[in-house]
Amino acid sequence: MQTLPSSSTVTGFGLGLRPQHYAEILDHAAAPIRRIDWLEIISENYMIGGGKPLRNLMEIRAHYPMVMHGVSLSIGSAAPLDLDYLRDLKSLSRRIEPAWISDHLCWTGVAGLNMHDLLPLPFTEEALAHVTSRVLAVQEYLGREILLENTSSYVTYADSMMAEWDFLAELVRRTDCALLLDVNNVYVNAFNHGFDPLTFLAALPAAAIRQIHLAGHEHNGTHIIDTHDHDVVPAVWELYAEAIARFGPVPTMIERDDHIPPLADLIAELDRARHLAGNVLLPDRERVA
Amino acid sequence: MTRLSEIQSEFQRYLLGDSDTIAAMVRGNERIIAADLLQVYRRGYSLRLVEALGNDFPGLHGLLGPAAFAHMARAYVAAHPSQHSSLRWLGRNLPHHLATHPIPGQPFAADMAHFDWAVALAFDARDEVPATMADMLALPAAAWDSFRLLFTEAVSDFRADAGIADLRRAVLRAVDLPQIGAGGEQRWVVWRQDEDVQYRPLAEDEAAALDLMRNNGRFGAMCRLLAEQFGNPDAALRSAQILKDWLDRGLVAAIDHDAAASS
Repeated sequence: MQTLPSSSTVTGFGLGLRPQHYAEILDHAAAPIRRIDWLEIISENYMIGGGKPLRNLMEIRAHYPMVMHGVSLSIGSAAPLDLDYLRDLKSLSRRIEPAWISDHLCWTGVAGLNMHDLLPLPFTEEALAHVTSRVLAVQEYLGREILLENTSSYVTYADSMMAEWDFLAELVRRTDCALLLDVNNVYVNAFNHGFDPLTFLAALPAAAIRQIHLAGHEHNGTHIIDTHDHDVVPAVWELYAEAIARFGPVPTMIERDDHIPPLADLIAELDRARHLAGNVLLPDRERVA
Repeated sequence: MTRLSEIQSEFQRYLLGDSDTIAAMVRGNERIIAADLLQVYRRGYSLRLVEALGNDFPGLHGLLGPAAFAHMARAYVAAHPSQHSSLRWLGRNLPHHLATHPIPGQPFAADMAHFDWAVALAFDARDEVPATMADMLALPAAAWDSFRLLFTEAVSDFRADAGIADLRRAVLRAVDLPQIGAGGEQRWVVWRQDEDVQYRPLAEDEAAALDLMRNNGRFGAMCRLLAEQFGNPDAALRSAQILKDWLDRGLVAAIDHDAAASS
């Protein structure tokens, strides 16, 4: 059986693996100059029988540490946990041996349907208790901690009784789950819902943050939509610097899902994150302006 | 019903276009009202599913064009909302939907959907090591009349116009479309050989043989079918030819003779 490079050493700067870049990623001769430390896969894309997608994935996995990022766990749904989904997720994780498995603090459907969107939760005690029980059940089933990502949202619920950051912090306290901090989503929600993004960062339990996402968005004047189809904007870079200063060298990746540019462009954006994070972590007198 | 399930139920009903009750449960911001922000979710839902169907049905998308495809896809999703955790399965009912809800002026839309879906199924079906002629020849002589075949999961078949493959090829290459329809319908089989999706038309006797063997029929019954239903005086030879072809092309996952011998 092939030995995979350990994912337990996921550090540094990664990219989301997208089929458009398979050929370049598989060009191993060029790998040393790419400066991609690890890759994140969308779990559902590989919860399939076989064929080229899985062959490509395993060939790439043989050369890169990986993490798995899902979109259909629906941890906040009022519907029962999807046991078939969990079985397939666990099966894929045995094959990939990821450093960690993440999904989103959201729900995706009820009553047997799936809306295939990361829909917002009301931040209520009822929702918190519900999500807590499900996170514990999922972690028990998978035999490992999971990471939950803060999502972007466009509306808030009249029922919400606590802030998103307090909900996340309490969820971590109750379940020992970890967090995937999406800095862009903090920025998007801060604009859409009118809060200070630094308040959000300050409330998070630093020890629980395993990974950071950076992405672009679409600003519509009245609201921002989390589209993942643009470069990271300057204000999000600034917030990222604040996050690194607060949380330390958390593994960071660029998330791009539409208008996907050449790999070299994403690597250049990743280098910007690397440079920025490195600079932030230097002592004051050694920082590069 | 808990409050959480009530909120989620109403949110989902809004996305599906069934109710606006959720608007009273959410808030916007100082610049834009909640009803307008909810539209972001409803538009996103529609766009996401239409895009997913376009990826799985490239022939149909090219045949109809983006606008007509999106119109068709929205109607389909309204009738068949996703019930699976993966968008991979969203289109499973589309061929049948188009067969029962034909698009005016597009007589081959359902055929194209069948073709696209069969290709999509074969593309990422489970990896299997196909049986070979050597496996066949290793069978004891006593098993020749009674063995059964297990086909790979990538194998599927459908009935469509005889020119549908030519039409799909032209659509995907964005070249002038051939006139089809004059050749009548025939059966098509789609499978995967190694990692490449393959397809070909089936002769009527081979289609009948495939039906029989995919329904757990025995090889002896296949020979008799070709002799009696198709009047073939060399049915055994024809059956052997068909069997060899299936094996050579990688359609067969296993030859089951133990079960046959014991039943």
